Amino acid sequence: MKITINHLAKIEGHAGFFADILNGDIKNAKIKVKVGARLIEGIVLNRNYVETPIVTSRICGICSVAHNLTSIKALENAFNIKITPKAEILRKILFLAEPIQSHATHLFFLSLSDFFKYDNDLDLIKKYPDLTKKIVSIRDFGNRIKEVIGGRDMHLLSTEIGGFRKEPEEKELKKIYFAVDKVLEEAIVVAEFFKKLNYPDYERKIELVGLVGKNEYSFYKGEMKTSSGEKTSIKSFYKELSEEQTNYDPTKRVKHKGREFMVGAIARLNLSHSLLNPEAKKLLDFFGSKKTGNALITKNTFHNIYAQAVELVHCAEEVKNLLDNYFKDKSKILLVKYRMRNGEGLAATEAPRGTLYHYYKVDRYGIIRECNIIPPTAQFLDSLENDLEKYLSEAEIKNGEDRKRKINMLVRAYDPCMTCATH
Amino acid sequence: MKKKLKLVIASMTCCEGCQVEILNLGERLLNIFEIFDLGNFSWVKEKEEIDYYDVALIEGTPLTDEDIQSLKELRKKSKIIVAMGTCAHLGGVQEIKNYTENRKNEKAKYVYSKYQRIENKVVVPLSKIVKIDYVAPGCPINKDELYNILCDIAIGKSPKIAPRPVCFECQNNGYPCLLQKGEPCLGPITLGGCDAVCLKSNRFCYGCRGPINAKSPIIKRHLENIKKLVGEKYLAEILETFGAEDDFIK
Repeated sequence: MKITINHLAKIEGHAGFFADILNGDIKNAKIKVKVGARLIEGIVLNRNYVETPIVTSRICGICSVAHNLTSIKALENAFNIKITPKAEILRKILFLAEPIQSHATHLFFLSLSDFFKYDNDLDLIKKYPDLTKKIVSIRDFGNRIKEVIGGRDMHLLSTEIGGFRKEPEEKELKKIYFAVDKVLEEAIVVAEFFKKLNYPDYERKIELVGLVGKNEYSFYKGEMKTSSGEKTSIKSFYKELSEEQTNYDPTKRVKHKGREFMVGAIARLNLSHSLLNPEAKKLLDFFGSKKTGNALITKNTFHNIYAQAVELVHCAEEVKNLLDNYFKDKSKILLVKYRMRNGEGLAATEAPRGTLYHYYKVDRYGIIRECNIIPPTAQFLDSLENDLEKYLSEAEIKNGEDRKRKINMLVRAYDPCMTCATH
Repeated sequence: MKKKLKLVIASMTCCEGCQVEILNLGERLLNIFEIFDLGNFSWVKEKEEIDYYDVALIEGTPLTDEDIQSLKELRKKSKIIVAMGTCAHLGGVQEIKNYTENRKNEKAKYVYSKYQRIENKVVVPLSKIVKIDYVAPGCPINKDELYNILCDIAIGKSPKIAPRPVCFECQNNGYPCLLQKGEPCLGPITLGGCDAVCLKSNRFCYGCRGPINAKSPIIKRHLENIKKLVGEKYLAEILETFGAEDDFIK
């Protein structure tokens, strides 16, 4: 017997789910991605590097900031450019704005209906008008930051190799600064709401991987860390990754030393929860009081949803911290001059869905000669399939009536982006 | 009360950013849900089988057989189709591969070891496959413009975009002219309506909204000037960035 869901709604991009049922157990669970191959790595090739971050931004409409800035950072590494501390603060703020917008979207529009067995978010909007308003306000806040610093709420315009083409207006930044407290309150209410949801009781041990900052819960810079305790540079970790094309869809599945792993909010939270801001840290009581220190706080993949809610609060707090630093810095330069040269550059950041790698090799005329991009979803699709097999084979699900809903729920808990996964 | 118009928001292959821009309408998104009867929108609801739509907003380019089939089905079912964003309108960044030699294989071979398994079609805008009624241009769309288009459709008016170049809004907004600074800006020949958002960030116009009037001799003249400025090769790369070269040079 087979289970088939041809169209998985409420994920970014198109995909279906296919599996066999053998003696009641689920085998060969497959997520088949149905997005066309845009060949982004191929099309930036043999062209001028200047347009590369413009093109790669278009890999994804919901994490365009991460693609644009990771691309820029990799090219800066190729040319050995050091941006100013002030420009770095602005980039870090952009890297908070994106999870604010993306997580709020995923939490409310894509995931929440599953907990109430609604097929349509309009039912959710009707039932929870106050929560809806808060989500809209939080999303607007994230987008506003991107507009003020990046020039637009998507596919940023002011970001550039070497820093920023234009300084954000101080008046507008101040408005953001004074809006933080309200948004933070709203984010806490949202997180408390997600704390009370009934998450399926499920666990599986998966290797968790993410970028960990020196003294900060990092999205923009850091070193690679794994839940089994490895700590290594981005470069050596990247070398240990392998990509393999499937036989049935246009994605490549990524393994670390030949093994599956998971990235995203749940990985970051497990690896860096001691670095969360105070209000976000309070929300860890959800995981029980025993789980403190540097121990893993959860192995339940469904908690990726709650981890996003915690990050929402953390990011709102961090916007304020970083703006404080920005206002203190009275230096003027946001764009450094550089000399183009031949070289290669790699960068990794934390996009909302997990670690994102961009790699380029540029010749002395500024022409891109090599390009490789590894998005988060390509890294966790294997884990998602393994989770689906295990979860769906558990007794209470096996015989349950709404198995299809459970499949959707687990897929959405991962927050996959098939558009990125294919690119 | 008048019956609400049935709306579908659908996606071919692309970054899905234009759909995200619809979500980014914020409170106005809730208005859209009030004004229209939401048929399908995969960011917001499970898929439903529906036979008829009054309005279809479609983003992306058809890159797979399944894309093409679903586009043709949407045409059969829909009274009005709005091509949403540069991909649907002109081809988008993925169309860059059309402009390179050996496009069928070289790019796919670089990205995939089993490249024969990859559907690798020539990238075309929606209008090459089905009839399109209106366009909301831009990469991404200007969400305010799209909202106006939807409001017009809701009251039975034909949406129109004023035939003014990007320069018009740029000057209105008082941004410094990048062309005068010697940058290869396509503002004078590109359809406005974006509020010159790129110029606001001190970035020249790449023409993502397409030519203001494809037949105008001004386009040819301007491109000649840009060619003198940056050379033929770089001009081609600028025009190709959003898949618009074949739209500017007919």
